[in-house]
Amino acid sequence: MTHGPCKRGWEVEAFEDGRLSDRDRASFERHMEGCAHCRTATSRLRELGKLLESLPAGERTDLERRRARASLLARANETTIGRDGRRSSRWIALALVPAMALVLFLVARTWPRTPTGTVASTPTASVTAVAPTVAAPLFEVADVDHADYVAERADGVSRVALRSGSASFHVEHVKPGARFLVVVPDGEVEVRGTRFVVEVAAGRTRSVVVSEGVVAVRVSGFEGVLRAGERWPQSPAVSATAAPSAAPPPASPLSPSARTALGPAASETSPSPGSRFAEAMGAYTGGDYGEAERRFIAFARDFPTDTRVEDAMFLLADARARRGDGVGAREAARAYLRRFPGGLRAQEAARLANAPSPP
Amino acid sequence: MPDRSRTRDLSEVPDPDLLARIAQGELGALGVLYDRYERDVRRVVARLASSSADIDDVVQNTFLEVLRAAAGYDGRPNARPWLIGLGVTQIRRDRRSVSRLAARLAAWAREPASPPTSPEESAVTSARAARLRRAFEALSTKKREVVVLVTLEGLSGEEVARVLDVPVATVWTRLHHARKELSHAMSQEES
Ligand SMILES: [Zn+2]
Repeated sequence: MTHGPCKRGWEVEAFEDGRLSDRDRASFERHMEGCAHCRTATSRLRELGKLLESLPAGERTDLERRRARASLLARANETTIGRDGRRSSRWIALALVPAMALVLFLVARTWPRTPTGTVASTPTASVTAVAPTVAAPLFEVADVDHADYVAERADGVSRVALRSGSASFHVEHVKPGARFLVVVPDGEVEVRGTRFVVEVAAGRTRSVVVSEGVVAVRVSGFEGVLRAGERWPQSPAVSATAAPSAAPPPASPLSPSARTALGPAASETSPSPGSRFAEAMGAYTGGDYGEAERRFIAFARDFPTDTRVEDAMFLLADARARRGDGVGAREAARAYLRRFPGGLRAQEAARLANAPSPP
Repeated sequence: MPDRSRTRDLSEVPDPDLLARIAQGELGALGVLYDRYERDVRRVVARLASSSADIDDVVQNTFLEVLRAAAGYDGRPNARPWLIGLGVTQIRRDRRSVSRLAARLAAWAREPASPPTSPEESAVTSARAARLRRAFEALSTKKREVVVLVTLEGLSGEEVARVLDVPVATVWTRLHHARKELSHAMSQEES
């Protein structure tokens, strides 16, 4: 790439790399019309560029790419949540546990620019100030059905504003002085280290289902405490069939007997895929794997094109494994892999599919 | 960041919003970013990493690094140059590791004299491509970087300067010398 006999030879590269001004470019174009040397140098440079394109680019198949994607998200999930061995919540695909410092930085940077009118990051009046030395609780949010939410952790308070849809929450132990709140359009749900599912539709909370721990509910005029196995309102059929404009279901005094209202007796005739999936999920997170299995199968059968079928099929395999049904788990995991070879849970499904048979 | 709420379909979300979501730990957004730019990052890694490097590993580490770096994203509408920059950092890190160096030497000792060629290529083209590949591999790392980033990835001089942390003029100088070496090597082999 010598400049050769022409004084303007150095401009060939600058011209090709697009770093000449408009005026210089026009001038050089005129020069090239009459300069064979610069024309040859330009075409050589282009030929070299074309040849460089032939350098190996590490191509691979779509299937390989999907597998790598699933593995990346699994690793990112571990990085985000941590590798705490006590966690059993690997079913969560979209975990949301930002690092404390990161969130403080973001909130500080973005809050002033948050447009007015969004429910998003408006602190609610019910949040009391806490000592900033207390770490806000760690939590995981899983989208159960079109969950539209915003999550924040700051000054000892973790807050998720759930505007609509259904999401399930898993909260680690809440230290004294720290709080975890789910802010819903018509109230809030406060937590003490637990797993639960909240469903919001048409600006109103439809249901809160607790599978682990204790939850304080202050929603639609109701105030009370829900324990593992309890739900508000009491009957799932009421929340699923109530018209959006109907008055909220009456608050029910929750007694230990309310526990039986959830579980196998829960309605399977709920109309929406969202509530059907939430029910299956509730059984699963509540540890009722037999019931979860039945509900995931029914979900995949009744809503074959729903995007959550992938979750249902994987969780079916997982529920069977947890129930000790190794053969059934392998079968379900293989069915998952056949249908979703590059799925988000492909790695874990492969592990279940290849698990050794029990003696 | 006008709206940090989750929506079902992230595929339409612009790059800066996607990175804001990733900074908050939203893994779905990382998946979308991966879908958008994995091919670009992988191509750069394949061409710039040492021959013994595990390309998959470097690409994965690049996207994992996004988790940490997302909060500092400068908000440019297109995240591609930034991601390629993260990729280059990972490539350099990979190249520096001592075990890599040993593996690289071992791989060099085993390497076949000429790379495999695809049947579609004509004999002449593949011979030229093989020569070019040898010449490219003989370039210094610094020269290879500018060739890949400017000529193959089409990044602007300013973008490359930022990625490599050198003045823009240095980018053009390196590129000029790289081209000179490549042309020289090609003409040597031809004669
Ligand atoms: Zn000329």
